[in-house]
Amino acid sequence: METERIDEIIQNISGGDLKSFQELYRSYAGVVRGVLFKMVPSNQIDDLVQEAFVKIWKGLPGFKGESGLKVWIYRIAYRVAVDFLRKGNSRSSQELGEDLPAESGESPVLEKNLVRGLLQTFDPDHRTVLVLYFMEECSLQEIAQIVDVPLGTVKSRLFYAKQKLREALKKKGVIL
Amino acid sequence: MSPENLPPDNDAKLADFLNRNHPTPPPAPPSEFAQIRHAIETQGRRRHSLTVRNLRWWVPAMAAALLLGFVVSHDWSHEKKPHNLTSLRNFTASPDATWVYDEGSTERSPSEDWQMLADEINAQK
Repeated sequence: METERIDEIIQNISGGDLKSFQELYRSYAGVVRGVLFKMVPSNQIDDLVQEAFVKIWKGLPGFKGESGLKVWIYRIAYRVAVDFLRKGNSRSSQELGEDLPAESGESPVLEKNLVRGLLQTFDPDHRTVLVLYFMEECSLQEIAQIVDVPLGTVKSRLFYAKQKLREALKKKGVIL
Repeated sequence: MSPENLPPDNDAKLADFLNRNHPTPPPAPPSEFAQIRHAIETQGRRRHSLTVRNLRWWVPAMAAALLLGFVVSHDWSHEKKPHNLTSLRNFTASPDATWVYDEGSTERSPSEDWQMLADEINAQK
């Protein structure tokens, strides 16, 4: 979405225009859904996407453009996910009925499930940096803005998260 | 260990593996935006709580509202000055007052009232 169009949409939404909000939803629903899918159990995604977009609607008039709109939206999705996980919902995927495959198979579907299942066993901080860095392709600086921590903390979390992921994959037969 | 002291790390294999096995979410239900819209309309638009931050605009807004309320509801009629002598006739009923008759009025002038009163007093003597 072009910067001028974004400014126009933000202005319209601040005035209460739901049509412009629908346009914004169409552009960013995939981003929000994608982040939440990697962070929280599947059966919670629809509710949390809705919660994130209500927060976007309420917060957009206060958006000052210090970070890009996409980073700001990532930040809201991240906070919705972390709030959910911190409310005692940080259970492992096994408890949620999303069983991990016993070992890595040839099937891409199995490996996708493996990655997602492993991510759900990580604590939210490590899970977040892995998702944002490798899957959403955010820069370290952007991750620092999204998570609201210093750049050094992001680097440190990413280092330990990668180490943990490699070890977990190794146990499942994937050596990287 | 500080981030600067972390050992160098080759991410290429890990990044490639994660990219290939990027978990994709299930499609959104078709009614998702309708549900979001309903939630927005139900919850009301941007409810503001009375926080210290909001006091910056709450205080002048409340003061202006109170002032406006006072101006609108206050009875200003007794504050108004009379426009002409007709309005004064109940307050300046002295024999020397200049009197302007309303056209067609059957009322007596104050001087006539005073005269009648004097006549009445004289009659009682």
